[in-house]
Amino acid sequence: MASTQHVLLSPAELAYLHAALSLTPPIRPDGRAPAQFRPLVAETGILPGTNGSARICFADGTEAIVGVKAEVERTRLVDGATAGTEWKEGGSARGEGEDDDGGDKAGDSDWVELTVEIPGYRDDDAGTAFLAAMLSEALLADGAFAKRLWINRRFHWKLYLDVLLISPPLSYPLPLLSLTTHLALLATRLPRLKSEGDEDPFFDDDWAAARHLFPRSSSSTTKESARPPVTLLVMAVGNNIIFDPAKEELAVADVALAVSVAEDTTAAATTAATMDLDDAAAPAARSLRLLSIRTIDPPSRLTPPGVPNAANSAYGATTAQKQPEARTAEAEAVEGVWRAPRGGAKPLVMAALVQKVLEKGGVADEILDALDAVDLG
Amino acid sequence: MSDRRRINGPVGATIPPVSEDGASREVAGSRGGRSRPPNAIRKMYLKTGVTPSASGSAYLEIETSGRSGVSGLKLSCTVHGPRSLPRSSPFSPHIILSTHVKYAPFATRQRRGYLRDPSERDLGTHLEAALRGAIIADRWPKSGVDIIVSIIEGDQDRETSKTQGDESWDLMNALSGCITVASAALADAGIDCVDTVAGGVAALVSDKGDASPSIVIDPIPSEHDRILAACCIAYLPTRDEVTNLWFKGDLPASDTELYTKLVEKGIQASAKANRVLVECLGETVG
Amino acid sequence: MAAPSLSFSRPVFAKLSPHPYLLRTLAPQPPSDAAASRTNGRAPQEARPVHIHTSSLSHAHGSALVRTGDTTVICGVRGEVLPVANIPQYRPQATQQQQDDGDERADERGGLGRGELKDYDLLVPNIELATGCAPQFLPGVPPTTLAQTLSTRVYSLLHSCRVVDPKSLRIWYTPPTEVGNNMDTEEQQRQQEEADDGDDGPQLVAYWVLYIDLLFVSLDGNPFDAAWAAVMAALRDTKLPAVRWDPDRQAAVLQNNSQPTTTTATAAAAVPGQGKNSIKTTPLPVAGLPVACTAAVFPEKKHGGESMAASAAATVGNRHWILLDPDRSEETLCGETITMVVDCSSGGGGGETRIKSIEKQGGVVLGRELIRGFAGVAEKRWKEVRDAMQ
Repeated sequence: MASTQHVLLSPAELAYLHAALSLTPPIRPDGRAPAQFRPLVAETGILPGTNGSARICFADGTEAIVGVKAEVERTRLVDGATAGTEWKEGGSARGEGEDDDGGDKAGDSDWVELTVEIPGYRDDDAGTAFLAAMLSEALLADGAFAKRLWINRRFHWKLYLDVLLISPPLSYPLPLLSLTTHLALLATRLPRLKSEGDEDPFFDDDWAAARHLFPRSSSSTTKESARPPVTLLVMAVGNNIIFDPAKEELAVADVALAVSVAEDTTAAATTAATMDLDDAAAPAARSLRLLSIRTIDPPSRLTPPGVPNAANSAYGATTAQKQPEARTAEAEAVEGVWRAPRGGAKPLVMAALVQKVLEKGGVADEILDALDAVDLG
Repeated sequence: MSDRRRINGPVGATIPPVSEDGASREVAGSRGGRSRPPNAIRKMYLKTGVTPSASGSAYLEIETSGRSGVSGLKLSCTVHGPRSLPRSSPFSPHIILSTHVKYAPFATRQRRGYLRDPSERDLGTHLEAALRGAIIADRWPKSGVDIIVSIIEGDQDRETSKTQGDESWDLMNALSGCITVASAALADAGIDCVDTVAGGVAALVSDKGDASPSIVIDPIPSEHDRILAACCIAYLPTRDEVTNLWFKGDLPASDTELYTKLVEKGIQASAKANRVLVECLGETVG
Repeated sequence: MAAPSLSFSRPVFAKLSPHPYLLRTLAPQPPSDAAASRTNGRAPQEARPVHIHTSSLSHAHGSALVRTGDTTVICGVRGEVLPVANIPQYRPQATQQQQDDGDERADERGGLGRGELKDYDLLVPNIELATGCAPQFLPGVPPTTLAQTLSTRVYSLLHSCRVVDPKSLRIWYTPPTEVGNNMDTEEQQRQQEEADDGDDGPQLVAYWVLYIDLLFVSLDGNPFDAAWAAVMAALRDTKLPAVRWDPDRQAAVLQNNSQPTTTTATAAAAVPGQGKNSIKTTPLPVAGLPVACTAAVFPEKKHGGESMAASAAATVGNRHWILLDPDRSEETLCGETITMVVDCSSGGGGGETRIKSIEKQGGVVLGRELIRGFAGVAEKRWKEVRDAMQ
């Protein structure tokens, strides 16, 4: 399991780290500010054989490649009533416009296949499956993504996302993989459709005419089109909220959350729930949407506990005393002695973490801005 | 590639019979609204000790809703251990949890295979996170425990034609059931926990009649027109702590109020399930 | 000699040296007048009572839960449609002919019908033990030898007993009077053949495939009897939905009760189902009620061969006991088992007993006489199971 890989830190080191991260402001081992990401190098279009690809390299040496391949697939008619009936009904009321909001035009989540490969882990490892589920869950959460893959009533694009970590998993790779996937999808282009209606699709050979899966309007003043989601890893130690934790920091986390957010695009959006945010449509501030949250099982629960002096025979605790002492040691924490956290997190702490991610002009904004700057080639 | 250790059946693909065309179905289906008040969970039946040869076991059944064809959730869980780790494994200062969640082939609308698929593995990871917070793991160094949940029947409407998206919400209900039943089985096995942990689901739903979306707990996807967001929470009531939170959906970030309320309701659902759990354990485990 | 100085409690002793312990309870010492019984309190030829619940699963077409003692198994039967176009070695001629010949004769001969079931693999039983039903069966590993053996035994017994009639699994399609215009070539060809026969009747377009999945919730010995009882109960509970073949979609479409149907395409004799939710269903006809009955032979001597000192009596270990419906601890002590499948259902319950299969594994104790005698035991067991199924 990628998040709970063995941390080779002694109880003393863990206690020190925990203390340092609990200070206000926290002192992180690599000197970052609490909400600062690790510096990264990003490029797109590195794999010519794909529809879109990206590579991101974090400063700590972890590196990921994502390739996106699209294939035309026949929409299965026999599967479920929806596809079949829709075709049989014949397009009368809801017609050709693929942007119309007919609920049952929604793509199937089967249309996206996301695989994650982490070196040293089997591809059916629970942790890998968890990562893949998290990434695809965020992608498919709003139901709008699969709609983009719709060609006509009989065909759709099938998107294969291969997410590869090409360095050893030095830290929990979730943020890295998510950012790389985001970039790769931004860079993804699909050939322009030349056929019309429900006939067998054929496409423009000219790659230059290919359209972006996430089209981006040239002028930034107008409403920007939707973008794929990003998943951020955030954790709490003591009273501090720390973004993008490194492996050592995660090892002392009280609670860690993976939060997926996406940019809110057209406020006229899909749901009634969004009605109340039109007022926030100031061009500068982008509004975010919360797509998914998952608790990451923090590896801190698996760290070795320290032994307080009172219970340590080397410091004069006699064996007779040891048994009751050990019991009390289990019950109450001793200052400066590491104990693996037990139990869960207070709901308020979790709420604070989420709040921090969603903050206007916060980290999520920063990340999205930074990714904007990447040349999509 | 076929699995030669099982009987695979015909070479050609078999297809489940498809349902009648939409028009007639909607009349027949007439998706009834929710029959319970928005903050009531369905009745649960919980029993421990169904598998005598396991260290601990439990069976959970959630009442079927009033409509026919909608199945309730049926889960059975066995706990084996704590037992010593194999010699080859490295030293661990804590008990090693391994959780398995598996749907029975006949549990859902579509027949499931025997190999665990990614969604089942994913559920297993969620379950592990939820339980690890509850177990006092450092009391058993160098040992492991296996927690196996079999989903005998999933929480699904057999008839609904709107298959799209429903399945992912079903996973949340399944997970909350898994957490509750596993917690009962752990208690049955006598494994020390800081508290009993139970799962609860809350969802933001919009129905045709209602003007604005409302929050309900323990939702049945087929009873609602649309689920906008849902969260599944594993909650330790006496410590007021959450061991696992899984939120999914689409919420505007400007309105964190909505999110907070959803989580609150999830906790409420979990606390209700916990009462059933404690009652059951009080009777049997003592 | 261990017994007099015994200072352990009974369960501890049973765990430490199960063989002498079982031996002592089966052959009580002369002074004690306790009746011979097994460690679980049953008489040697006493089986655990069977409890059967059916129709508890809503996604399966037929289901059963069988509980005997601490062995609990759930069986779900689900039908899926196998279009003949998907059968690689499909031979339309054989079945077509059979249909024309009148089914009675074909059934008597059995040959063709059985071939259909077996050649097209229409019955797919699988047994899952890896549910933690016992400590040695944990998930995450391929099916154990036991699981594979059980699946295969159920599979072969299903075929040899001819429980399911292949006729009831066929799905017919009566083409409308004008010739269908959008059929693929293969179908056209078949239609051609039919035309040659001068018959424009219904054509066989697909088969039901029955997936029979068994899940052990708890296992305490004798898995086969429980599994087989569950299979039979679930099959008897199975109601296949009435379907109409849709040649355009190449799929079977469920029929609603509300819709008047013009094309008859139900399986076999269409009994209007007491449909759960407006979908017409037809009970699957199940022939007979074979019941499996397993016993294990407990030898006085351990397998190792060294004679046990536990028995103070002079007779040196040639005695043996036949333990009906062994539980898990007994199974580990017994090397020889016999499974007899009998069916007394012909002729309305009280009829003659038909032995459908005998399987014997290991050991040399059970000879012809004993096996013949065992048929009586199996008959008794049949009645118990039959009563539980009602």
